[in-house]
Amino acid sequence: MPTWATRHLEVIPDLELPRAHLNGAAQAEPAADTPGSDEWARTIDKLLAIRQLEDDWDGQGSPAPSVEVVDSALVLALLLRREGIASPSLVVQGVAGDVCFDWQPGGGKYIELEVTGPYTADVFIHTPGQPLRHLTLSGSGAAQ
Amino acid sequence: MKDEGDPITPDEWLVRLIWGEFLAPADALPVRPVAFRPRPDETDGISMFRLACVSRAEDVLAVIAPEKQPRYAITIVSVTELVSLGLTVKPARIETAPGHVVIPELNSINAKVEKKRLEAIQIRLAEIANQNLVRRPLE
Repeated sequence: MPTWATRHLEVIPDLELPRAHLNGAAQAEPAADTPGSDEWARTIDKLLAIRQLEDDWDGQGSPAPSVEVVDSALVLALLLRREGIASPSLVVQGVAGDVCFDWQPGGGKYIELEVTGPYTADVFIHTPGQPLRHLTLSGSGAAQ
Repeated sequence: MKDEGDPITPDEWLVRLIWGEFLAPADALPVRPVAFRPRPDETDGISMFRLACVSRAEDVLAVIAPEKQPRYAITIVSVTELVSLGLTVKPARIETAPGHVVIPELNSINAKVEKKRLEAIQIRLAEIANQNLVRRPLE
């Protein structure tokens, strides 16, 4: 069954995503009172709502993300939550059948993770004063 | 008010419609770069409208189905700022609203092959859009 490559566990630090708790310990099954668990629940609820979208959801003809794309985003969300990553600032469908997560950890930093296909994603890391970083994630691994 | 056949001048402002979910007012960067991405059918570039060709920015909502109009935010970006980002503005007349233009560089083909370059531009456009919001979504 295709899924995100296990190598992604190793590249998560490269994504510079903020952590949900200070000690940074990964948790197999976050408890209901885990810091950030409510926010992750909202993220997952949002993804389930995106899964129900139909084409032309914006009245301008934008395609709805495919079930495969949304399910890939769901699996990635569960992986990130398990790894102790903070829930995203926003999760939303894009205008090209994609699903976007973003984080704004402060200091003007902006991290966007865009699931563009089944188990395929682009990650953009914008840090003020530095060149934009672009990484790609796929079922077979990650590349910069 | 200008006629849409008049030349586009550097002192003009362009209107961009933004789906309300691409705006989260509590965040440091409320309007997201995704608001400036092309749809797959926008092979000629993303749509904008010349503010000089309408009475109010809200007039361009005429291109959206009435039931979806309340869900849109509206921002304006100056032609000068667009040009400073290496972008151009091309008239593209449509029936439903006057002053329609496209930004050819931000087209759906470039979006697939020049992701990093376009993302950097779209982040800057989002920053500009945040400074110039003229309407938030009504619902």
